[in-house]
Amino acid sequence: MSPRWLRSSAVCAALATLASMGCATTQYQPQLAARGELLLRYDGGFVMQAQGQTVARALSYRGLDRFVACVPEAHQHARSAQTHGGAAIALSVIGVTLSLASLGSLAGLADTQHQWSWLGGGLAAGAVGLTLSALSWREKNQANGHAIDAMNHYNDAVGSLGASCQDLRYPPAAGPSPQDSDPMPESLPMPPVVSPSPSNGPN
Amino acid sequence: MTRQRSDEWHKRRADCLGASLGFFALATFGSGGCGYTSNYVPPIDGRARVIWNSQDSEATATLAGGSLSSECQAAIRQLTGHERIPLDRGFVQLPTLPSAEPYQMIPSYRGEYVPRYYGPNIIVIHPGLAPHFPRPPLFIPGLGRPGFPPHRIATPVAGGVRMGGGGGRGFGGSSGGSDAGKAFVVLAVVAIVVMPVISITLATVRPESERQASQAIDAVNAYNDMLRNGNSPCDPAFAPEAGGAS
Repeated sequence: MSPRWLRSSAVCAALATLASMGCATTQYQPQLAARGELLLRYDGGFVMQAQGQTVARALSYRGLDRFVACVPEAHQHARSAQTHGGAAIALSVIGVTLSLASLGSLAGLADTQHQWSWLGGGLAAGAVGLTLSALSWREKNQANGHAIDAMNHYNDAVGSLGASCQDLRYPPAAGPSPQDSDPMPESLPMPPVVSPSPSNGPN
Repeated sequence: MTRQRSDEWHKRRADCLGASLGFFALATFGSGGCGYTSNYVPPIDGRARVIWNSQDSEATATLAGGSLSSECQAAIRQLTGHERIPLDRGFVQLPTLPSAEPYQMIPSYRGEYVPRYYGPNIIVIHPGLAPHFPRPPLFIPGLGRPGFPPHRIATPVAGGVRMGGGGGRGFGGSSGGSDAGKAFVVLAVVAIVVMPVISITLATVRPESERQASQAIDAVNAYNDMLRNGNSPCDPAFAPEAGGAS
């Protein structure tokens, strides 16, 4: 196993990994969206749109917290999504950089006197890089989960009802809900009966 | 004497490096299995949503009390082109109904859409802060009323739950052989080559299934469009097989 062969095989494997990534996107374009409603799209990651404009997209979800600011729970989730998204990006970059740097230690195979130092350093850098990349995977999940929760909390309180945080005015209701219009029950419990005793009667 | 000491030192070093590698690998695989646990509970208001399924850390669709008749399923398939949709904790295989009349969105509804919700009028008390609803406004008027067609969903045909974190096996730190040096060099070289591949994969590939996310989003958007458009096969009151009156 020559170092050159190892290096080229590693590069090939990395390229194959990148090439095998999926590329599914959403096919249906929503047509009836309420004013201010956040709609989801998938295009290499989750994309959130409102009124035809992109509000935020994975993984950074920048701008989502401002858009949903009038719903405290949504705002909190949006902030978390942005924090986790930023962490995921940073961890990915550092992880990949360290992992690629560890490949440089293979040059130490030629240096028989310091072979152990080279390999030890390479192993340590690779292991730390791998750990950071795994942590970035976890952060991506957290970012996406928080972002979807933020969108749902916002739409439940504001977006799907035809309002937006920028203009918090709701259209009138189309009618009462069934609970509101339910008829009164036919039989009500009888009120307590107080029997007047003859001694307490009016004289 | 010096040679023996050197061999011992190499052996200890190999053991130490192997152990540290095993530790990092365990930490790596252990942390990879932790997903996001959502506490969001969708209100039963008839509006479909994409929610986060904490069990398999994937986006999935939920109908929030809405029904999914076979006509509705066929219409979703016709509009989205997907063969199945992830729904709650499973998948619903969408049927092909070539004889069915294709569902069409009414062009006059396009453009500005004012949502129709049922409940009291919403009044903003604190400016800049959305009001809290004791009872969520409904998008399907009869939802929750006694005698209203109960929501029916086709039985999931394929279990969609994929438990996260398959459990990784740590690299063992055993290099107790007499010829530990050479074996460890080979092991170290293999690890140095393999780790960047795994690292790049973890860093670049998205944790969610792109296909499942696209299917869930398309299904939810198409479902809500049909309900809002009116005369929808997804409306429980209009679906013929539900026996509801139009």
